[in-house]
Amino acid sequence: MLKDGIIILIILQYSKNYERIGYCNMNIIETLEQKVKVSKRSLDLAKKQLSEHKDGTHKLSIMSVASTELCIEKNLFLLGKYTKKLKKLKKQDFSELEANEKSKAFIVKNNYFKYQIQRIKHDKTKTPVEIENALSALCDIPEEIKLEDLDLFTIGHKSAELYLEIHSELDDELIEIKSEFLDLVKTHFNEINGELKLLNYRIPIIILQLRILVKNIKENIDENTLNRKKFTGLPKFEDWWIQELWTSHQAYMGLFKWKKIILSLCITTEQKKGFEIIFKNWILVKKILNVKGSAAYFYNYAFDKMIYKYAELEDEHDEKNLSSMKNIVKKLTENENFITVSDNHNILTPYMKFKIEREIEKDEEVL
Amino acid sequence: MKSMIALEKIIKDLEVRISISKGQLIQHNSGEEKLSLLAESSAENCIEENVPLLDKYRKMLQNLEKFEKLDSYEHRRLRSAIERKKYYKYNKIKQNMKNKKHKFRENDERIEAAMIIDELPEEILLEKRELFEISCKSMEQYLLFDDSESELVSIQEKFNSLIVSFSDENIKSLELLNYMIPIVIFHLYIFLKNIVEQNKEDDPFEEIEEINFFPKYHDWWIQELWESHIAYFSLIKWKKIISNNCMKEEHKSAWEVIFNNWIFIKTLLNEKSDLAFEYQYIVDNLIKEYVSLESELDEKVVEAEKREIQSFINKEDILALSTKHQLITPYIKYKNLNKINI
Repeated sequence: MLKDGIIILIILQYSKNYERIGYCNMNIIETLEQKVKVSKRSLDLAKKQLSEHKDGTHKLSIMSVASTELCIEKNLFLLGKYTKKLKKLKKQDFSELEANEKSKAFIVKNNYFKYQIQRIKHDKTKTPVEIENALSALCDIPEEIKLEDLDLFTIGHKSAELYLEIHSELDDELIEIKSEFLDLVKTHFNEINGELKLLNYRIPIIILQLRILVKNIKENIDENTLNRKKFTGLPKFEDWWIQELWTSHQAYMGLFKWKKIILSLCITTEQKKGFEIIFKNWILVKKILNVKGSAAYFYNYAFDKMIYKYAELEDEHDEKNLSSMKNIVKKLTENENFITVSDNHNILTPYMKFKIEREIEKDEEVL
Repeated sequence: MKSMIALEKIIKDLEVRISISKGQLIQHNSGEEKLSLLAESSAENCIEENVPLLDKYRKMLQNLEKFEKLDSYEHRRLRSAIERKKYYKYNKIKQNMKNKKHKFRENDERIEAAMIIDELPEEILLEKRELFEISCKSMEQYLLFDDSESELVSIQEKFNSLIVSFSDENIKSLELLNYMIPIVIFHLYIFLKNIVEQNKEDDPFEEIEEINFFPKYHDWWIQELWESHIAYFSLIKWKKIISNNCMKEEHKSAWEVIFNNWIFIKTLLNEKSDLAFEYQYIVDNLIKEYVSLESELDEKVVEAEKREIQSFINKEDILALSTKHQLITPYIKYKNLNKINI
């Protein structure tokens, strides 16, 4: 404990020394010259006041006389001291002095950066988050670039404010997923399925988005001690729902209920909204691949494989389970009231309003 | 290097701060808008403090630029992510004002960031010829393309010229869609052309109503698909009408593909809400221009059709499965066979 304390003290000392030692060494002669000047000026002034008092031009009180005499005495002493020091310094070899100073400054600077991480970590004036952000900025910049603590805190704060860490991490993850996905499919393209290449850009995004959402749901469940329900993964989907979407209403129903179950696992509005978007993207891509038939099997498989690996979403293979789920979906379809609309139902959608306004503007322009 | 983007933002913020203070002092000195003594010294102080900081950060950024270019792919995406996130947040706040039950947690930031990732610049490079080949090869089993490359080029050029004028907050970069949209419009155009020609062949004396081939769709079907059952049934009815108007099986199959691609684009744009209104409007107008496929804008008609859908639902065999219904689909069989191979 004590040893640690001493080390911290030394580290913190460096931060102060880095500026102070450098400053003193570089300006010592100038400072002494300045001090000689000041002492001389004070001495001259005091002597003048005393002589004016003696010749009666400007009388001083007894107290003032004593103080002036004391001032002369003190400044005479200081002047002597400073002049002597100055003479001594000026006699010295300047190049040696300078080299000495430089090497001292170098050591101080070196130590400043050597102990920068420890110093930032132990900075009592900053919060743990601020410290974490500054350290992350330090990791981000090349080793050759040395920035002072204050600048690291400023950059770290700005990076956090802009969520740069999150954006950058997501981009890295996307690159990883994309390259893995492309590796799986690249040798399977031919003339008929060439258009699937366009989806190369969409599929890794869907996988990443679902991965983030599942991670987020898990974190929330883990944090919430009151919620004893364990997250056992996403429910399985069934391929025939996709195969028969737009043909059999039961397929629609299966997907609709499956989506509802996942939505019930989402706690925050952001999660729910996120899943709505991911679901629509996922089902649209899956349906495009399904319509493409056997020419897209390899691609569909790669998509399924990757989404299982990264987001634990998979389809049901077991015929027994498929069959029992089919019965459940049938019952659900039988009992569902299809003459319903959502709570937010509005036939005049915001986009329709926008379109109508645009059409009116157009008509006015014509007139 | 994330720090470069942070520095860039710090520099921009300082520039704005300095410029505001300078502006205030100019107005004060010219007598246009006098400042109080306190405000004047605060403006002076701001310049005095921030100018050296600005120089310092600019130099810092210059030094970092020796290691990584400011306009690298990574930086362009990060810069764009900050901007997109800003508009996403703004849009969300607007929506949440309507929905007061909003719940939010700190780790939702990551979801937010993930949801805008498709709006960031992406480098997709497709030659015109390649795009045409992709468009034809995928559909030539159903449709006759003849020598129609110039049509696709013209659609693509028109579309690109229309989307460049967007303001910053609008979505202008959904790279995948920038390619998919011209293809879908092109497919719709060829599909309709094929149908008209087929009808001419079948009955040379009948006048073909090319303009009214597609019934109008309603925007709320797309908005509420997967939320309101009626939206699903309305879309299915609309899709069926068009399918029934196709005489040949190939045309029905072509429509199946086109419908799925069209609904994909419409849903994706719809999800982006007002940020993509301009974009969606351009897409809709181009489709309208080429094949007269458009949405119904008369609210009364929309309402009336919504009421009619009930009788359609009542007539539907809700439990009917596809004639080729299989629990183990051909794709599942393929998957089981190829588990190890891929």
